[in-house]
Amino acid sequence: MAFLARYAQRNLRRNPARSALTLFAVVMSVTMLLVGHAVLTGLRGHVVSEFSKHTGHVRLRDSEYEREARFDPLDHVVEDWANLAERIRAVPGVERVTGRIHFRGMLQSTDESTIVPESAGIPEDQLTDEQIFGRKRLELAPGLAFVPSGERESLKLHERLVEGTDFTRDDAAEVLLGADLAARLAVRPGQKIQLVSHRKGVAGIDLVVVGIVRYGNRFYDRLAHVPLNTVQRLLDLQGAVTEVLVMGPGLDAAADLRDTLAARGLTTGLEVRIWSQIGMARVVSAIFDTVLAVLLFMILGVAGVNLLNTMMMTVLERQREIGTLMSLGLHRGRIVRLFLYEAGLYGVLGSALGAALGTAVAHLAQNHGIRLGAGATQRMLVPMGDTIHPEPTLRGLVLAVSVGVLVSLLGALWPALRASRVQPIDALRKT
Amino acid sequence: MRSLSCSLALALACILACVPGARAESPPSGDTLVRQMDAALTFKTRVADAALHVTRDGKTETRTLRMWSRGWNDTYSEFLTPARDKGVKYLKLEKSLYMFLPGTEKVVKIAGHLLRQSVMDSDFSYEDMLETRAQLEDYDAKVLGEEKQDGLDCWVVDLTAKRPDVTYARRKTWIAKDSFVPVRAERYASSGLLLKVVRMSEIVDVGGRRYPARMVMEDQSRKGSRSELHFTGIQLDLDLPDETFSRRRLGRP
Repeated sequence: MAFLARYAQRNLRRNPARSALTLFAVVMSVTMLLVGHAVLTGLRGHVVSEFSKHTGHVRLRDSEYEREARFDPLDHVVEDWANLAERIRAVPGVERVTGRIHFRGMLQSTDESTIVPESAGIPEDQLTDEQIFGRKRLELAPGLAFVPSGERESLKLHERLVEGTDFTRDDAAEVLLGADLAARLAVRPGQKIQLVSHRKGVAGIDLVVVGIVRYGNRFYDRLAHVPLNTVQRLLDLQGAVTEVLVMGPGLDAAADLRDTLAARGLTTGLEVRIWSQIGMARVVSAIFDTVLAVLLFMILGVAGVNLLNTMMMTVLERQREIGTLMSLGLHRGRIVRLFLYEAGLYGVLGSALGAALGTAVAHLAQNHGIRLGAGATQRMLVPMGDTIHPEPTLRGLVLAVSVGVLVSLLGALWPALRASRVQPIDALRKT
Repeated sequence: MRSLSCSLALALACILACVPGARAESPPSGDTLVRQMDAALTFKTRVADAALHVTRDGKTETRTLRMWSRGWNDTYSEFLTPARDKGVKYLKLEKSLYMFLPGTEKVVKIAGHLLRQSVMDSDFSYEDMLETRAQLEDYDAKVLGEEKQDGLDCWVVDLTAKRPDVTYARRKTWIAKDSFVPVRAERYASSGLLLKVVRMSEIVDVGGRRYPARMVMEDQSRKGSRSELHFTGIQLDLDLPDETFSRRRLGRP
């Protein structure tokens, strides 16, 4: 056994250039896999963490609302949510409970500088609408209502402000507009707009624009943020919300938290989902697995084919040597083992170097972050920063090293089997 | 024998042709019928109280309003009950629609894609409110035949839009033979999808004119929904001051 190992080690030095190239392929493959895994883990963590701010760890909705969510069906709400929230807060492990209303409304801004006063005495039929009512801008926009003080740390709107301030109090008739919506309405902080709802007839309220926020996301930059109390009054939904979000000790504990809430009868009649069961989280996990599979396939291609090529060359070059060893009594199994030892050395050495290089690169990227560019995240379903921080993990390290060694061995298997099938007499005849 | 049979058949045909009730009624042209339908619904002015009953998922909500109309184009309406909607006013002038909300004391001009919104959560859309009755301007009319609808003998007229920017690409209308009121109308999208069904009934006598007092609209995209506009105290052809349809007046609380 020791003889075979020494023999394999010596063979590595026979053609230093070829050995270096093969080793390089393994090193690069392991590095790529390690860095790729860290980037994907970081990306998934980033997306999931941002996403869970909008879904909570556990989300409760009326089951009918869940079915028709895309129409914002305000007839199917969670009634008396404050009482439900109080009972949920008493459950051990629950850190925060919030209620939200998703709605659509007409928003109107008015530039009154164009109005001609009645005292001017101009007959009405000579005046345009702008001269009578002012210059109007009207937008049908999505809205999000929440308790400002309760969601300050989860939504972090104060960090997204490009103009103005955060809400002054929880029941204020104020609005924070997404940057695109503010531009369409041509309003700035301090101006008044009207929010009109067509739920149960038609109703409108005046809101003061206190701030303008930019998410860098197409959907959220068209969003109107309004205090929950104000929207409940407008929509005639006193005490009700469209969803209750529950934050527990962490994302991994979400399923346990859901089961605890159910066991205490707090979710009866409601549709309960944990963050990983909600739209985008599922998609992100599927994308992560697919990209990782593609990466693995590429590594197998690069490293495996390189190993296969090197070992095949070695087998063809060393026909006479194989013949001599076999005629000296080395049986076929040991010939196979000899070549696998050799490939194993490439694998272990290459994986070790690749692991060291990959870990260094991943940590460097983690500290500095990788900028994707604003365009990359603009169309995501949830707002997220355009810089991701890779997360090197032990799991990624074990995966990369294992794949490096395994691919090296698999790449050498066929040449090794071929070498073991050589007839000693034929091999010795070859010059 | 053969010539006797022929003579009898000829004689029978002559007799049948002379009996008034047995003569087949030749249908008027589609254009004529639509003109008569428009005339039946036309007035110089109309003042009426109305109740709007909106039924969704078995629950009915009622709102009352007063309406002042001038011809086909101008309408001013003001909601009276419930308290939540009291003071909401709409003014339609030709193809423009304005809404006054007492909560904001501001006028909203409804235009563009917002016209597809429903009026007071009913099956009527703002686009429906903006419709004029002069359908021959926008549609080609063709008579499809005769049918009974709600117990009334009706002509069935198919109206196909002349231009693509018309709200409904096709309408199938049942026009009552006696009053020329469109007792049923189906409104279709260009894809052929049935969008709305409108029914007019309770045809009453108003100053010698026959006029429908009840209009029911069913938006086919709203499951289990039905909206009914029931007019009471209809007065036709009164003199209304221009101020009734004033934009400035609308903006005053």
